[in-house]
Amino acid sequence: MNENNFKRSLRNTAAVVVTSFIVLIIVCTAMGMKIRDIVDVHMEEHVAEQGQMISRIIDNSFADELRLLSDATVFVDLENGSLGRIFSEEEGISYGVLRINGEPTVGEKLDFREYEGIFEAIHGNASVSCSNKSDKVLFAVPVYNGANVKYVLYKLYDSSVLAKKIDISCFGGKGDCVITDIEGNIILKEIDSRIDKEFFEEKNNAEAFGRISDKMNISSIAASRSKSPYGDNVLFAAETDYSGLYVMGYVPAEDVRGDISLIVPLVLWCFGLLWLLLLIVTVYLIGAEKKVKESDELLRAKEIAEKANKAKSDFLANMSHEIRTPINAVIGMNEMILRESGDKNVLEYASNIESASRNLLDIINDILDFSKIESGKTEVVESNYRLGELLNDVVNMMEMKASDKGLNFEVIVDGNLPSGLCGDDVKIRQIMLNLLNNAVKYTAKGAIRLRVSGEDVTADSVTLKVAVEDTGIGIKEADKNGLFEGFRRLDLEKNRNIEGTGLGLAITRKFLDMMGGRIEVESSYGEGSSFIFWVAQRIIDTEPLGDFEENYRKQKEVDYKYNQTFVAPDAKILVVDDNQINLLVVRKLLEKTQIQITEAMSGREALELMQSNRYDIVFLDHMMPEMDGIETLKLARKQDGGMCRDVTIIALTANAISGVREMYLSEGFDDYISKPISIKQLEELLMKYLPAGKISFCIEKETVAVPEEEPANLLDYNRGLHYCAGSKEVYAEIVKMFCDSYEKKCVELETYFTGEDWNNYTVSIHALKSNALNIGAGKLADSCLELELAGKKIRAGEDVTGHTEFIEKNHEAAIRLFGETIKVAEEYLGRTK
Amino acid sequence: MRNSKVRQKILLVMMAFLIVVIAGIIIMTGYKKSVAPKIGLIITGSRTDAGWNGVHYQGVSYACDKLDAKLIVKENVPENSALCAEAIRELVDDGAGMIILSSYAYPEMVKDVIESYPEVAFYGSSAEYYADNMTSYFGRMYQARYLAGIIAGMTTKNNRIGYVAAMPNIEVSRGINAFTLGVRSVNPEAVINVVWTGSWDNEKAETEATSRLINDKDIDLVTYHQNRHYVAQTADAAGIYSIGYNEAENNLSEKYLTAAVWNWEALYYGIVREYVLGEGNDVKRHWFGINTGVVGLSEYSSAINENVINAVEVAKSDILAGKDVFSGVIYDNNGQLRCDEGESISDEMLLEKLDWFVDGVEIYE
Repeated sequence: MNENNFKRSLRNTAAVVVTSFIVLIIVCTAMGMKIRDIVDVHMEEHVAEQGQMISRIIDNSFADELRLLSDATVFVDLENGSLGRIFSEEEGISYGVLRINGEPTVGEKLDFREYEGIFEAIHGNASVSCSNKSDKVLFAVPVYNGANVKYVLYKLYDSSVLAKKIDISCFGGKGDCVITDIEGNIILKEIDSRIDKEFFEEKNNAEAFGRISDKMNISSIAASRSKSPYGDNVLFAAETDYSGLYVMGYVPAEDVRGDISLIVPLVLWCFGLLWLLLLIVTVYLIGAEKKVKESDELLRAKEIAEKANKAKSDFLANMSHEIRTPINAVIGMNEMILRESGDKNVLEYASNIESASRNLLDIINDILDFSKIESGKTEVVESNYRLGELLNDVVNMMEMKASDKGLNFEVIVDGNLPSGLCGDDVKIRQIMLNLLNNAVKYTAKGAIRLRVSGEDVTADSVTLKVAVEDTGIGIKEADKNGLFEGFRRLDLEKNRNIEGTGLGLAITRKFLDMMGGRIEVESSYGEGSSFIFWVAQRIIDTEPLGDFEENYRKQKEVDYKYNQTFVAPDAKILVVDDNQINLLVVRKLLEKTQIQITEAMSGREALELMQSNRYDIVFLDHMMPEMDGIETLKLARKQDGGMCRDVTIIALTANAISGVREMYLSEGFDDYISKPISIKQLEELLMKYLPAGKISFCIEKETVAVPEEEPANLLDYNRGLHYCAGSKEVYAEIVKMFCDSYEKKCVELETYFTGEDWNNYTVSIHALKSNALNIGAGKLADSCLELELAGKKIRAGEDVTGHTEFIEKNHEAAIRLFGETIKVAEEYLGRTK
Repeated sequence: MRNSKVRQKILLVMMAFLIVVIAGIIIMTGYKKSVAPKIGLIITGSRTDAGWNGVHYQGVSYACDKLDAKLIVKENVPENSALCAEAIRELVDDGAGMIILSSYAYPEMVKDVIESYPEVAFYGSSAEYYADNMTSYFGRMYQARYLAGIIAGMTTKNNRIGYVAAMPNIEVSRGINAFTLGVRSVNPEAVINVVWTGSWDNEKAETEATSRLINDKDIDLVTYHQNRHYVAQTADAAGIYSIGYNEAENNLSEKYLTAAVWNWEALYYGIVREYVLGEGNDVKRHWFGINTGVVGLSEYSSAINENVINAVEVAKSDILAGKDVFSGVIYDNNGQLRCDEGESISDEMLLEKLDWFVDGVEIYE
């Protein structure tokens, strides 16, 4: 399509260029001819004028001759026609007097037919005529006797003599001319004249004189250009006043033209340049149109891309709930493992899961943040905050990470900074964490330094300057440009082991842009980097921050106190979630607090409960089918006679994108906690919102459960209890679930085994292993683990026959062990009952 | 997509068109658009008349066609009326730069009008009046009349010849004199009886005049100076010889011997060309002779014998050789010598001062 378009437009362009070229060549040619014509016409006019001038000269000369002759008629004797010796003898000139019958009284007899002028003279008219037989010119005047003409006085010239007498030099001697009769016979010519009969008969000259003759029909003078062996000449002809006499001649075109000839190349040059200009304009226009077309296409492509991007963002946002829910479960359950497991290995696994989950969560949060920014849904939300608390949180979070990696974490805070500020603390926190996280990630050894200071302090605002310095790998100069672009990760070869989406800095940059801040980076490759950002904040409380380190230490002590567990047996809470596992997680997490927990799996159920029960706190999930959290909240708030119209309702959601907190608060929730639920956060909320009277703190003894090694025992109650946070009840419940699943599980495993469906077999055996571990059936779990590993190997294609044989050999033993374990478990259940 | 393509094509076509138009304009400019000169012609009758008016119209029309001039004709303009002045004004308003007054008496009548339009070139077929912007043109019809006279003189049996003429003026007199000189050159006894009709074109008067000459003077040959051929027709009907004028009349018997005719085409081509060249009024008169073909005799009737023809040819060659009609010894009808042996009457006299009749002319009142 595009290829075709391009070809077509190329073809169009070529067509335009060729067409315009042809048109312009034609026009140019016509123009050139036209200009030559004009110049020729001009030359011809010029020459014709010259011809007329010569004809005037001749007219005047002839008139003079005739006047002289007329004057001489008084010397003619009327009686006998004799003439005194009034004329001197001259070579080539003769005089005579004729009677009207043509007989001469003086001089030679002339034939009337040879000289038309005699006839005219007899009729009383002075006249000039040339012989049609010889090179002679006759001037004749009448001699009157009273009213009648009696004689004719004539003067006969040899034409060469007359020519000498009359100066008919043409064009300052450059041209040449002769006097002819109407038939073109030369009557008068200068001796050195180059014009002769052959000149007139030459083909091109004859043609030119033909044209002149045509023009002479409507003009007394005419000229025409002729290129002949005589040269490039402009020929001309002019009538004289004397009928039958013409001046004919030529002037070399070169002499006529003079500087005019320069006009031709000049005009052609001009025209050529114009043509070039036109060509350029044409090409430009075509280019412009093509560009417009392309930009149209680009615009369309952009629209499509934007739509796709929006769809992506929407998709990501919608996935939020879907992804967070299982992570919630993973982290929640993992928290349980961490709390309850005594097994060192298990604890290690769990902590790995914890960190992996947290990483996953971070990544998802990053992607979601980025998608929010991309789709323009992120806004700067300003609120008042304590700078000290913000820094505490950040340092608190990073201190661990840094020390885990063996890095020094230094915090240098300007104590003069105001303690109360107004701004988007959530975003600032995220920016600082992003930068610090990066610093930790990319620094193998050395130190991380966080410097916080203020600039441009005025009465009501301060620009926070936050610098994060590290002694990490640094950034190459060439990479600095793209540093803040999305999905950008530097030095991929080297940093393959470092996790992340590459969105952190992009988000950071965008947040700062939104808040009117800026960020700079200084780095020397291999030595370390320094990210510094500035953001202006309004001052709410001018009281100086004071010594941060001291404050931090104090805060930690307070935190420690918070860490103390509490019990609130009188407190009643309602947890609403459509996901049973989430309910279980909350229940398990809060088991130790002895809080009375009621669960509801839908908004409707929750409303029913709230109608008649009073709860201290309601945890309400947002995303629920049928009736979502917000709807439920609104109904609960105006429930007729409801017991919980004014209780604290806390949003429980997997929608952890920034800005969501504000959304929930504006919808009427009292607070918000994001899934996966962190026990610390949950306990904090409870301490905050539960009536103080219902909470009693107690110093918890750190009782580390010492695992009892009882391998022979098929069921390790202690271990099982540990997983259930020491709750026998829960344990019993889980054991019962385990027993109830026995038959189904056996059938499942047998089916997969006989069908050699090792994939599903492995999954199924894995689930059995987990369940066995949960109730403390270590032996069964071990046995399952062996089979699971074998299954995995088969799946991975390693030594398939060997591992298949292994499973075949051990399957039955495992099933047998399962049965035995069930027996023991049922015994336990029977005992507890 | 399609729209933009169509737009592009339209743009292209328009551009090419524009270029061609501009080029055309550039090429066309500079050619002086010559405005066709306008020639006015005033005639006493209709352009379709057989006779004087028709031949003049055809002559001018021919010249205008040849020379790319535009002809405007004013017809039916009587001589002795104010209509000629009116016609001249209309022609000038229409843009005529040259006005041909084709009838003999026009110029005298509209002298004032002619002088009030100095920028217009007037041409009149009269030699008696001319002005700076008025050129007279005429043919030496007298030469043809002279030759016709020779035929008449050799043909008449009773030596009584009639001449019906409109009115006595120089042109008419010159014709009568030349005719008489021709008759007398071969027949010194013959008498020319002249009757005036008082009009160039009056059938009744002309017919009556002819009849009177036949009845009262017993003429056996008649010629005339009228616009039309009523005289010849009457004579032919009466069974006497006649010699025509202007152009040959074809529907008559062999007694219609010949006619002294004009070739106005050649004449008008000459003068219209002169005007187109911008040389109008440079000369005061044109008088075209038999050598130019403007005047001559039409085809002879079978009644004319070889001797007559030979005599005519000899006389014609004499004229061409310089021995013109009005030369040698000439007496007028009052016995006064008007030209002596070896003399020639000048054109000036013939055109402007001829107010006498040669010996042999008798006016029949």
